[in-house]
Amino acid sequence: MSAETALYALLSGNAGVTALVSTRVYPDLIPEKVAIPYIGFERTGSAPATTLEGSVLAERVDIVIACWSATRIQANQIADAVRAALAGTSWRYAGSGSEVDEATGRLAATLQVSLQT
Amino acid sequence: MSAIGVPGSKVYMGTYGAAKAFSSISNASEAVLSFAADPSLAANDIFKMDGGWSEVAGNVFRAKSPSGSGPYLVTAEGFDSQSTTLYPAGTGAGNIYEASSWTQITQVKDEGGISSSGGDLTFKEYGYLEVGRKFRQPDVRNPVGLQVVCYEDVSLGWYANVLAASKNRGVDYPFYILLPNGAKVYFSAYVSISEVPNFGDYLETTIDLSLVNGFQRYAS
Repeated sequence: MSAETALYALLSGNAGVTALVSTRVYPDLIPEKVAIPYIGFERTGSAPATTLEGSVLAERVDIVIACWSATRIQANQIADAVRAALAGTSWRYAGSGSEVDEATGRLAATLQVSLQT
Repeated sequence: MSAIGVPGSKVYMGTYGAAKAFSSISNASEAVLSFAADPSLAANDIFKMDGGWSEVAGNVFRAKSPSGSGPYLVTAEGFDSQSTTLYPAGTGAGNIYEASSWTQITQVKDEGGISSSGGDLTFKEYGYLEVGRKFRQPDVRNPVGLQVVCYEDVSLGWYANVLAASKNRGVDYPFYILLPNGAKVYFSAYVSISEVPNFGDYLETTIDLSLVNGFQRYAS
């Protein structure tokens, strides 16, 4: 199972998250006319555990999750719900940030997370 | 000019057999060992030499041109013993130990998986009362060590061998590194491994190899 598949299953199946964004959880591409709030995420990199002989034994996948809303307060609430969903799992929370979409006025609270696959 | 890549290299560990005495060793462009009894070495067999020549005691060589019959002669491939300063004539006799049962140490990390330390020349400082500075003169070289870092998997066959070698303090083991260009580097080393891994992204095991003496490199 890819890291994206695992993350989608985790977030879309978590009651705390779906209470805020329903099932509007999207890997990579966000539908054009999606209602807010919603969550988008994408892979930003990976770090393979490679041997001298070239075998890849495992891989750490880095993903950024963006929790979009019309307000900063709600964006942060969604991010808190995502962090709560990740707690106690194999996902590692690595930090947070924010984004502003000036064209739409939407705000995002972002989370950097990673998973060892 | 060339640069030898490290990715694709393989690390092997072996064991030594019983001592086989050689009665003399020549000063030659490739030293020839003379045995009273058949050492049962074939061409390309690997052995450690431990004798009167401290400069190479504990070095690992490849057997070349074994005579197969008395007098039992075996050439230590690549060992230039022409210097009677380093290798005083008539004083090199000792034992060899054949290396065998090679096991590959797998899951060596691709970046930083093998590193070396030591081997650098040290200096002594001295001075004269009438001169306002100090001088240096070459002393000895520091001992050489290698570190091999692996992704830990205690179920792998080599792990038990390395762990046993680590507990067998004072006993050295033969190693060689096969480079991607086909070259081989042989050495004998004392082994140390910590049963407690490093906890990074992945569990990692570090194997410390303290070389008994030097490297012996063969192009193929």
